[in-house]
Amino acid sequence: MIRIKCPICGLRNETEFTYGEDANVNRPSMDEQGVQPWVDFVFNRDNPRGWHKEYWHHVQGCRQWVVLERNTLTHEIGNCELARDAKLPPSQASEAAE
Amino acid sequence: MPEPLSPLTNKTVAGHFGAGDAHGVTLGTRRVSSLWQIAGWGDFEAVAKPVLTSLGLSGLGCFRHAQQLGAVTVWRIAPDKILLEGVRDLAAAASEELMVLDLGHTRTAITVEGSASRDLLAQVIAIDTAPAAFGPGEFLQTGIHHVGVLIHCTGPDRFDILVPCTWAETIWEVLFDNALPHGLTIEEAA
Amino acid sequence: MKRLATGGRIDRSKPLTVSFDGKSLPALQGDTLSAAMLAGGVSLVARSFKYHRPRGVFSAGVEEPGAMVHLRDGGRHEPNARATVIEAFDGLVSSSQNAWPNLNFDVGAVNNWASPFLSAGFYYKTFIGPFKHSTKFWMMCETFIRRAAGMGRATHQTDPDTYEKRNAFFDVLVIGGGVAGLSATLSAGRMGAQVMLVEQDFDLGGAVLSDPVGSESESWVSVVRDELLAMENVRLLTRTTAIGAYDGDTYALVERVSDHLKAPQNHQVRQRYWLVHAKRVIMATGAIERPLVFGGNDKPGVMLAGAARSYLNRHAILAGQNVVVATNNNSAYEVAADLSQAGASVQLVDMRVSVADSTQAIARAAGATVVLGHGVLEAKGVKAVNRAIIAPVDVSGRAIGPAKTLKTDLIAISGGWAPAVHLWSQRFGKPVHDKASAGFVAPDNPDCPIQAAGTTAAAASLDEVLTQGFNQGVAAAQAAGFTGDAGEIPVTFDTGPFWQAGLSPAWATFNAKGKCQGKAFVDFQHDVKINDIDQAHLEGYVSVEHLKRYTTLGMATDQGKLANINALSRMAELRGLEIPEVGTTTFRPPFTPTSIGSIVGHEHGRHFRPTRLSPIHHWHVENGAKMTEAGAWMRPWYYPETGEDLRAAYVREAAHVRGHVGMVDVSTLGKIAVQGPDAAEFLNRMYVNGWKTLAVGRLRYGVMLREDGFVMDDGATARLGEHDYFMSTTTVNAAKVLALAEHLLQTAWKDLRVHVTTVTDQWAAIAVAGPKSRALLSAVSDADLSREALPSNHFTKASIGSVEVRIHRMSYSGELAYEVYTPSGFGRHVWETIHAAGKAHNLRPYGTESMGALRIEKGHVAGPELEGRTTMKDLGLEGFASSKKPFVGSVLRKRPVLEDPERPILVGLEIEGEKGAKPGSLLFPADGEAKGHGDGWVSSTTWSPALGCNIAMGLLKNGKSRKGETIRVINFVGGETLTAKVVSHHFFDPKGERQNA
Repeated sequence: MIRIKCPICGLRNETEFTYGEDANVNRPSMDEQGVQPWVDFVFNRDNPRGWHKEYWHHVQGCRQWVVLERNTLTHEIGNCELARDAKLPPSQASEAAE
Repeated sequence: MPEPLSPLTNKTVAGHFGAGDAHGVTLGTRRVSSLWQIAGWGDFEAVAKPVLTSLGLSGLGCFRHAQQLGAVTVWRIAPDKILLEGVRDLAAAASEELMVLDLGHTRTAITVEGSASRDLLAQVIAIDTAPAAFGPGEFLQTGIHHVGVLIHCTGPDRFDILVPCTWAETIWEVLFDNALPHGLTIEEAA
Repeated sequence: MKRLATGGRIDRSKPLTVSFDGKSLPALQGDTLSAAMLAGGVSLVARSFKYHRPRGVFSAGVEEPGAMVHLRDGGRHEPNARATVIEAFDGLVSSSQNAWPNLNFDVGAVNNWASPFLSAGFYYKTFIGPFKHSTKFWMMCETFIRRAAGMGRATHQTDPDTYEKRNAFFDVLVIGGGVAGLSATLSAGRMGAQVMLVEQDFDLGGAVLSDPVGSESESWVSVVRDELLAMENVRLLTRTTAIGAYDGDTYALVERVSDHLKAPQNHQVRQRYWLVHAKRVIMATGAIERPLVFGGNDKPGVMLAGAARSYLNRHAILAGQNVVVATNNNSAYEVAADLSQAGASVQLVDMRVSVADSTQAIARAAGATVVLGHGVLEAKGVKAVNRAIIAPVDVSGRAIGPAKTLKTDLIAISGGWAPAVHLWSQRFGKPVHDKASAGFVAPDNPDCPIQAAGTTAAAASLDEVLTQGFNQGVAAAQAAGFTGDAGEIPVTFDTGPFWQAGLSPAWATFNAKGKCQGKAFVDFQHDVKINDIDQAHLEGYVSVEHLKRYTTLGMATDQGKLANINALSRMAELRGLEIPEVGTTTFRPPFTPTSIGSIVGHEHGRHFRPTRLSPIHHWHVENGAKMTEAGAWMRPWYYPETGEDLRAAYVREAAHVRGHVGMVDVSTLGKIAVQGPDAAEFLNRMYVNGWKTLAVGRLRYGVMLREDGFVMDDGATARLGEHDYFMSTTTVNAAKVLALAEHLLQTAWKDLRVHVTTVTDQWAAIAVAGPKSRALLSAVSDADLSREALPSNHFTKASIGSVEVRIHRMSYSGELAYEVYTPSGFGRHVWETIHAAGKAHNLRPYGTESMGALRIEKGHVAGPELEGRTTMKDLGLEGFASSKKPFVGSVLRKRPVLEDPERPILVGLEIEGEKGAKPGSLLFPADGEAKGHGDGWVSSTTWSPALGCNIAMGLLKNGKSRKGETIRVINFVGGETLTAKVVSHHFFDPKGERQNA
């Protein structure tokens, strides 16, 4: 049983949440016309071993989306913050440019 | 205008059910007379505050404690969303910065009262229902039987559960069946 | 076997009616079923899993591998119930299982003689190896094998009892109500922590309950129990087993609320499933005695030594008169003493050559004979033990001298003790081997939220058990943030070192040739013998995980509680390694077999999933509608008139709408309030079509894609005000669309000042459709619904029966039609008002079936077409897409694979003949072999009253150029082939003249 500390509602069981998606991928901006950035956004994931950021939806609570740190190896739960407050990771496009 | 119909009209048949010698839980209904949502963005606190002060309240409140003044109850349900029960009409408060929404027909209240009410809640929600963890004046948003609800502790062993009207019967039935071992009294419809 | 006149923790004044295979047993209050069996002289209880060997009562606890029965009858019938943990109750009915025609004469016992063929890897070798190119032989044999080898049978009747779930939150959870658990609860409780103590027995005390009545330990327990009962912050739960330890400090317990009764009383539940969240857990689960391994060690009359002592001291049952106590450690000396004092003639056979005089004195003083340096080679007897063959053995258990025969009716065996570390292992992995105690324990880590205490942590004496428990209680309370005073450890009682002390490494005996004499079992429940492990080793198995699966050792319902350590020891010996090098397997929940009912709780029957009702639901039911499920919703399917079946009713309803006027409840549509200065931009991004030009008072149909470019949903959105939009979604996709909108607004689209809120519950919606709909609604409302005042895709506010409503001009049926939105509390009132006014206009309600027929006639897509694999282009919706702006899915919808001209596209099918097509049927050209997936499939199908024939919608390759072609529609499931003509899916009124009337 994952226990998630929702910044609004407090510590809750995972049963109140639904998993959304990998929070390390950035949605390309709306005017992005290239296919590859959208393919990366929709289909390509790193699948790391260890700490990972994920979007979860407190759908039976405050209905806020949160960014949750979860260890894919040990299933430990780390920090949890509102998605609206979260600093998004650098987009893959900008990573590729570096 | 006719009276709005409670979605639990068919369920509130007064009587005693379950364990014969016990009176652990009383279930009843309460009409949610009016329910408004105000919502905003970055400067929500500043924009929403005048609405609340006009009702005699000091501020937006927190995510844990309901504010209550007379017939008005206020729940801060999200960073930039507040629910208000018992206010007449907030439509006039709407602006570019503050969205107002009439939700007066979205929820109905199931009242739970009695010495076993906390045990009953512990059977349907995965949250600590002990008095120290969930006392009078506090509220929480959670799920009962996969449906999102708002539970407001209105007294030492008394709760209002705001349930979406279309799910009201299914949640009532879940509470009813879970309450039978405690001895269940159903109140006459309010 | 006999019940002694005195002693035991039983109530002789309360005899209970208990039966096994029709035989009445002399049970008393306080007995288990196994105790009652022993008291009644029942030694043969069951037939074993594979060889159908006779089995009796082997233990006195959860580890019981043999004495499993069918318990109760009717809907409460329960297979594989362990007699050792069933509390005797008045009216208990039990019977034997896995035996035919009966327990004493069991045909399946022939397997015992065929056992060389049923050895390790039997299934793999016999059925998979030689027949690997065909599974037919296996399929044939499987039926027979499953019948022959097996356990009890479940009932097909409905369980009449209820089960519930409960969540609980504690600072400290103590598992096990023995001395360690009690003292841990005491100290943590004194410090002020909220503590829950769970004990699987109906009484507290643990091992103390097997001490003689009147022992010092007993009075200690009662003093501590009284103190605990007085603490408000301590909750004691007996008859409760901790079955699982999970992530997030979550623990599952099953409380057997009414299992000790014939039936639950006064609306109480049968069992309660607790999910406990605890900051700290003290695992005081004790230890399980290890069996010794020798020929015939599974026979009725062979019993764990500790169990023999339990039956004596707890139930006042002397399980044998001529007892051989066989041991490799000190714990059996007390057993020998107690049995001897109770009147049995006892010979203690110890595999060790040298044993301290003080230890020997325990047994000798009570009158038992002690034979050192000897082991039991074999237990003899057909259906029960009557002789023991013993011989002098060396340190490896091999016979080194002549054997002799002892007459006996009970061989009480002890091979040492294994700490019950299951719960720790469930969460944290493999336990470590502790050389001092020769057992597997949880590794020492003070930060671990689960801490072991007492014999679970290999404590060496009762004194240490008590101290350890007390100290762990203090540590747990401190870890949970409590700093109160735990006070003094309650007075300890005199005790020397016990149990594991002086354990010999030998735990099995062999004859002089190094072979086991007879069948020597390691896993009693799955019939795995020591030879099976040897054979697996010979065949090259080195991993314990492989050994387990190859031999099925430890895979029965007892999960190897008795077998695992002995099997590991054997593996280590064979490989010439130390036990820690061989390792162990991981324990998994549940600790003991758990009823499905307790896991399900209330979530079955009408609570299997929640049900959603329209505000007009009860009108439909009261007026004879047949209801159908649509997702979680109940919806009116059709309203049969006298004698009508579904087909007759929907055909009539659909025709009635086209000819007159009908009304249908569409409250189930998803409705979302979209509010904010950027609402139009938000809609522009969500939908494929443009929204910036939509004026207040108007509405527009929109199509929504997923991020990957496939169609997700469609629906109409109305602009209610400057910043207020009212979006509708399909019934099934409402939650998905809302969650996506929230996600985008809270992540990628933080720049948009928009709020989305579900208002599905706020509004009831009624569609009024048909040529007379304008006349009807004009009569019942105050609105001007003339063509000029309210053209298509406009809405107006109005009032019906003094209720304010909104009337949308919108058609799904293709007829002149309106949707009436009203606050849900008035939904039924407005429906009834329209219905009453409709009498003058020949109005009929219609259900989802005719609604479907009408939309198929019009070629409107719905759920069967919006199934996640179709694009706008596939569905002929591409015209809606704006090329001037980006929207969700706008780039990926143009992936080459989705632009492939070969993709099946939406077509209409006119089916020839009287029979309609089934959805899911495949489409094939008129000629040629019908192979593979064909050229497409049927999505929706109906009889069309308007066209007078069966029609269908489907997706067909190159569908555009195939209009007029005759194709085959094949339903492979039903084995039926129809022919159909490919046509436009806009079957009826393709120009839309009727709805724009």
